Amino acid sequence: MIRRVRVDRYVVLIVVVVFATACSESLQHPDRDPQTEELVRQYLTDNPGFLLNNPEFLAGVRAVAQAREERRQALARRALLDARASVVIDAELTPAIGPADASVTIIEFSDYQCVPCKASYPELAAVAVSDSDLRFVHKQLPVYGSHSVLAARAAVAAHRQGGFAAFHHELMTGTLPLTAELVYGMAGDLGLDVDVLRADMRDPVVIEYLSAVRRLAEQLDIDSTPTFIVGDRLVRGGLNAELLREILVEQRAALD
Amino acid sequence: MRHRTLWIFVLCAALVGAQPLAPSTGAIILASDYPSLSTEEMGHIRHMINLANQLDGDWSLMGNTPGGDNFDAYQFQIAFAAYALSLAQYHKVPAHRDLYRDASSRLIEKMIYKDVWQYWAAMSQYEKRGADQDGNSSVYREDGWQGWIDPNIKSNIMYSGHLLQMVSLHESLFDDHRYDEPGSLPFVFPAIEYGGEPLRMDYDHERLATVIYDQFVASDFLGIECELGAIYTECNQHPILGLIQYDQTHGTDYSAEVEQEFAETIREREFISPENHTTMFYLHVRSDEVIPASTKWSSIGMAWSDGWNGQAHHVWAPQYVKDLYREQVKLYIPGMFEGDPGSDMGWTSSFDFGWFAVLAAEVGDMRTVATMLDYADEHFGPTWRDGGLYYPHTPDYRENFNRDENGFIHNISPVTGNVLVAMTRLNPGDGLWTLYNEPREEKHFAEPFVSDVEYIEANVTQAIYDRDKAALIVTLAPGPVASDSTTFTVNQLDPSISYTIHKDGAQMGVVHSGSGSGVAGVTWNANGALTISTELDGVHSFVVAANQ
Repeated sequence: MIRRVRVDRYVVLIVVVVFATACSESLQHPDRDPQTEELVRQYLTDNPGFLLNNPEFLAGVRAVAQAREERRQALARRALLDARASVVIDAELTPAIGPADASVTIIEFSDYQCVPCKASYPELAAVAVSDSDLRFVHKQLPVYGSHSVLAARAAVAAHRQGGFAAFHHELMTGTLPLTAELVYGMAGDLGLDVDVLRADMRDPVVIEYLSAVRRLAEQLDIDSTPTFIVGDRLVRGGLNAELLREILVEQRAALD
Repeated sequence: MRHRTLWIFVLCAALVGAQPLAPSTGAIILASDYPSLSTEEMGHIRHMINLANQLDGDWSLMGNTPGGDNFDAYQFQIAFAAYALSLAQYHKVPAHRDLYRDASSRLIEKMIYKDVWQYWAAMSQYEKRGADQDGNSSVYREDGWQGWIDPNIKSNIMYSGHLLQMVSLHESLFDDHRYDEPGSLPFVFPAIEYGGEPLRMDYDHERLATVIYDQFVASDFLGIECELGAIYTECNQHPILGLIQYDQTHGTDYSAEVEQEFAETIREREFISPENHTTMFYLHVRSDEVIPASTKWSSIGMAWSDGWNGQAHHVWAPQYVKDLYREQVKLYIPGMFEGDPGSDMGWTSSFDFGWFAVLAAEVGDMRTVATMLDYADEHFGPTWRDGGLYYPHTPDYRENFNRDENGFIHNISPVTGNVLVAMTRLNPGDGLWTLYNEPREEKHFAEPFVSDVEYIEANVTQAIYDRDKAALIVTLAPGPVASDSTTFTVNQLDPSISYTIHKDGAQMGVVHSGSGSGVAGVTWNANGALTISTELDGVHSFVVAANQ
């Protein structure tokens, strides 16, 4: 019995070391001892109940697994965004605000009828005011029906005329239900050429562009709006300024 | 505002429908002589397309049962939406393909989305849980873990049968062979929670059809298990319909054998009782015992089961099903509609209504159909959303099966509210029978058709090519986004002849591809298609008739 307790303590110590190593960035830690690892592996194989009897380690295992999975997803996301960059991220029809060489890029997938999207808008704007080292890339992902599609097309068409930022602001801060009349009126009030805007909204290039954005969103496992990709981190749902700033710190730290 | 638009729509539809549209051939063509979609039918179609267009992973309005054997599982809503849209396209707007083709492929995409089929991976754990249909322990994993999480390879016909029917419908209705491509139906299972590597199971139309046919053979045509240890008649109808169309498009001959042998099974094993004419509950595989419908949850039978089985069975045994229906309708109607206030109708109350309504429409009992649709419109809270019409599921649909305080049906499940009532309304009578027994001929796909209609602003309520009169009839109505004007494209016109175009009964002009249009609002495209512009202040009908 005494011997068993000693063995368990020894294994606990080893497991802690191994988890600490696994949780670190480098999975090929130079200090890892293959013999120790094998010893732990063999012990856990022979005593599968060990982890169940020590729930704190299960939490550790889950945390490591989750961190690995998040890292894997981030890498896959980055690879996908790089592969599709010319089509949808850097495409001529993609509105982007902020310096192209900003340290962090925030890609926002949003819908102009989505309440959390609208709620996040002033929060993002507040961060943008105090942090000039950011680039915002706006992707229209209309998921709330026909009038959302209408507004998304209008936003892209407004971008063609160089009027995206103001038009986006009006749509994000407007409180009236979206209608064609409202959208065209808004564009006219901002000095956009409404006839050109309406023609651009029917341009197959614009329509196909929005389809490509949607395909990209689905490949990224985005299933709702708003969804943000802040650096390498995917954030589902609304963002407030405080949380965004925390994520920015985290992302910039990862760059160092 | 919405009501005013609706009234304008209805009024204009009535006026336009009565106007003669005179083609150059001299014959009078009346738009009202051709099938058209009513406001409600169009609304149902839009709702189902709206659901199809939701992002992967967004199941808004569809309840909260991703996959599995619950009748509200997304797989059933997706599949029956595909069947309902197929009925609409085949019978009402056969010359309008792109909208329905794209919706069909979106629905198939959703069907192979992991949320929908991953239930079967959980099923593989049943051995550990020790429960089957009746709560008995069962050893079911003789094929091993990976074989079972493939949702098609063994059993699960309540999933794979629907997928086969959907894919076969897609190919048959749209002459679209994308699912014949190897790997076109991929099932990707990340499996991270099991510690394994991602697993990809590639399917295509042929593999799906043969895997299912082989299971019929392996079962000696007793039927394929729908879920753990249970064979249901209705589940096995869907793969049969899938095989019928697979045979039609691939020149194979699987379905005749399956129909003949499964009919024999139904007769010999009394899957449908010759005494009370109701469909069995299920066949308990381990005990080889037929569990009749009348022993569980219902003293008479199960309207949902009879409706579900009958609507599909009618495709290949129409008279048999019609004869059954005459008895079944007496069992369930009108007792279903009204009872003691607050009385418990049992967990199938909503499904009983939905699937039996679908059957009533298929066998052509239009009086019962009208009664049931009126009932739904009066008691199920019809709701318009983004141009779509549906009956929102009751918040407590998973647990409250009592009648309401007036004795009417309270429970509305997502499958009933989203798709089954819609399918009922969209079936003109014998609708599935005709679709499967009179498949599209090759020349249908070479005839003129309409495309590129702006979905957010226009509804296509008529689109049919009259081969005898060499005329395409198209009617557009305003959609959810108001627009002064819209355009549509007419494809596959014969470049060697001229066409006379009529709008709302008045001749717009004569066009010939070689000499330009010369008609205001009409332009020839480089690819030989014709684009027609129209104001969209109400309903407008067009006839594009060949001058032979």
